[in-house]
Order: sequence, then C-alpha cells, then structure tokens
Amino acid sequence: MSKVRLGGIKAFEKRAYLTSLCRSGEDALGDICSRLASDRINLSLLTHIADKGTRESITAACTENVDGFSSYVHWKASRGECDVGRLLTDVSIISVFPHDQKLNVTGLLMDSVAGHGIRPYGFASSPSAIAILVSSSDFEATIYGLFDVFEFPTYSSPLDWHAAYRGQEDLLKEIICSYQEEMIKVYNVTHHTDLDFLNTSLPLNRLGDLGAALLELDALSLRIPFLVSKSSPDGQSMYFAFCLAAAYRDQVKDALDRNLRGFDFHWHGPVSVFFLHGPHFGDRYGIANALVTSLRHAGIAPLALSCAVSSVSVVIEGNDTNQTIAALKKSFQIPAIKRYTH
Amino acid sequence: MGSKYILIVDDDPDMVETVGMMLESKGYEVGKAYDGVEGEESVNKRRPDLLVLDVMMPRKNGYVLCAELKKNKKTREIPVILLTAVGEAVPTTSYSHADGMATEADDYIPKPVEAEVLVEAIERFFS
Repeated sequence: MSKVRLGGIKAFEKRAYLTSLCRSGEDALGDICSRLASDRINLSLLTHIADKGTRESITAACTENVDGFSSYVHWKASRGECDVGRLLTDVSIISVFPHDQKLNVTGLLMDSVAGHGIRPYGFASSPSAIAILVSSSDFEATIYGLFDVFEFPTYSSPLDWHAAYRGQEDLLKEIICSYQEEMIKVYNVTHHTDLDFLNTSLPLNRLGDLGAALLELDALSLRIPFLVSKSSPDGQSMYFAFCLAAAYRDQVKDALDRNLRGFDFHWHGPVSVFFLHGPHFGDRYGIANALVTSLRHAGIAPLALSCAVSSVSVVIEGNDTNQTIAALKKSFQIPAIKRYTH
Repeated sequence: MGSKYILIVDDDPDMVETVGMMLESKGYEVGKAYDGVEGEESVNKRRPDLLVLDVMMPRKNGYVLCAELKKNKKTREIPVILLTAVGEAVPTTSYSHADGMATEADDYIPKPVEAEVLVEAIERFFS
C-alpha cells in the first residue's frame, strides 16, 4: 500500500487524562467545564459522547500533568451520577494533519495503531487533524507506526522527526498561552448537514477492521467530518462515535458488515456537525465552558463534542442549524458561516 | 485576484486550514506549510506573492524566517504578514514586538486575528 502524504505530526506529552461515565442525564459536562474554567484550568483536549436513549454520556479530557489532580478533584465533585475514571498522567496527544476529513487518513491511522499493538486511550478529530491519545510507553511505537503509512515533507523517518522536534518542548509550552478577549474570536464556522451519527463499542483487537472499513469507503470519496473514541476502563474495548453522509448509508452499512460482521452499530440521523475554527482551544481556558453554556442556554444538548488541536467540533441533532448558530453567536465572535451538504 | 499565490506558514493545522479556506473563497491560490523550515523550502520551490507567517513555531520561528527572507535579494520583495501572539496578549512570552520590528516584516497582526482584518491586510498589498 502506498503511503499517504500529510503535512506533519504534532505531539503534546505529559498530559493528565480524565474520564467519566455519567448515567443520570444531568448536565455533568456543563458542571465539569464550569468548574475547570473557574479554576483557570486549560484543556488540551475534550471529547464527549451522549446517548439520548440511555441518558448515558462519556466524557474525556486532557490537561497539563500539573493540573491533573486539581482537575480530578473537580470531576469527582461534579454533579450527576458519574463514575470518574482513574487519573492517568504522562499521556501523549499525537496529531497528524491535514486529514481533509479523508477516510483513508483515519483508516490508515487505525491500521497503523492496530498493527503495532498500541493500546490507545482514544481518538479525536478536529477540522484539519486527527489526534490519538496514548500512554508514554506507547509514544515511540505510535510515532514509528505513523511513518509506516504516512510520509511527511520535511522529515522522512521517526529519527528525523525527533531531531526536528525534540528539545522544542519549551517553545510549545510558550505557545500554550492565554488569550483573554472579552468575546472569544473564531476565524469562521462551518457546518455539515445530512449526516448519520454512528456509535458502537468494539474490542480493541478489531480496531484494524474498522480502519479497513473506512479505507474501503474512502474509494467513494466519502468524508468523515467527525470522529471521537474512548477506550473502556479495562482497555479491552473502545467506544466510537462518528459521522458520515446519510446519502451513503447503504454503502457504509455494507462496508461495516463486511469488516465487522456481528457488531451492532447504533445509527442516528439526520445530524449536523459544526466546526468552530480556531478559537485557540488548548491555548486558553474557558472555551469548552463557553461552548457548553451557550448551547445549554439555548436548550441544545450536543450529541457529541470533539475539542482538539485549536478547534471545536459539535454534533447536533437535526438539520435545522439556525438555533445552534444563534446560540454560538452569544459566546463567540463569528465572522463567517459556511454550510456543506453531503 | 485569482492569480495571486499566498503561502501560509503556521504550526497550527486548524489555523492553516481556516485561513486557507478564507483566502481560497476570495479567489487566492493557497500554499500551506507547517513550520519554518517547511515554509522556507516552500518559498524556494515556488515564490509566493505574499507570505502569512506565524511567529511561534518549532524548528524555525517566524521572526527568523522573515529576517532571512528580507536579507535575501531573491526574496526580500515578498510581502510578509506576521501573525503575532506576543506582547500584551501573551505577557508570559519571551517574544517581543521589538524582535518583530527587527525582521522588517511588512505588516503585523495580533492573534487571535479577525478573519476580515487578515483579508483586508492581504488585499492592501494587491490593490
């Protein structure tokens, strides 16, 4: 298989990782985000998946290691009937970009991770990148695995990448900074409508098969505008949530059936995905709180969130996007809105 | 306007994607690079009509790349807009506007940039 050419790899190491499974349907996400924002704790990553049927939700987040314990205390104190997972430290977030929402990038990433026996904590997409969360012990294998399936313009091997980026940690820390506008600026907002929202839980040893299904679907030039996943507490399985164009439902069902026969996928649709491009998520605290608060005030319960790299992706029920846009405009300075229909 | 080629150099892929999308919607041709070294190589491969350059990047920061381009006879005429998250916005950083002034960049825009401000700044160079 020929390698896919990408732009680069970005890695953030020494992150604390927090997770919770909430059953009550109460606004545990809003409470957690509010508590972290009030303590000025910056999030490096946030994912959230809600199941309206069971009223369960899965939330995961990364902070700097140094903020891990404080964050954990806030999570334990947050309202809702939640099981808070063990605090993990020294977790790495490795992002590859640009994926252009192409299925072959995500599929190859899964293929590489599965092939190297890596046990990821989760995946999270942004409009331009796909991030994988791994333990520090899996960091090197993950980087090496990326070079099996991708090629990059300015480094041809893991050693090249290390030579270029090791020792740059201080700079990356300096880049993590706090912008303090009164109104959070967003470069633009795009939204995709007419999507299906798929959820499933798979044994970790079938990750490569999900990757294979995505690679099959790539031949249709289908895009994957949203994907998040989180491993189970025992690390044996992963819960996935992703969006694909509803117009390709039959082809998607066929590909999943061929590669993952016998596994149940929960389908929900139509849904829309909103991208808030570049509010500098990861560079300042309070963005997730502003997002979740503005949606809650408008009576909108997101089906899923992925706050990764510097952007925010939100999955919303239905194709009527006006209410969501109006809600977002109350907390974010939004200059342009562009709609994509699949 | 469609013939103008703009190179965006930023280590934030979402930023590159977003600015690229904005400029493409205005009819510009857009090149993308994700750090200073790749940015330099991209300039050498194809001379851009304008460079949008982030300051804080690994490998080679925007100040260094800008200064090198402005010292080089072949590239000194390329307009450079520096996107800076320095000074008052980020009091902890060791980068300063004084460093930026020394690079002879053609324009400085503080991050987080407003899309319209950036597009207006670019269009000023082509008007």
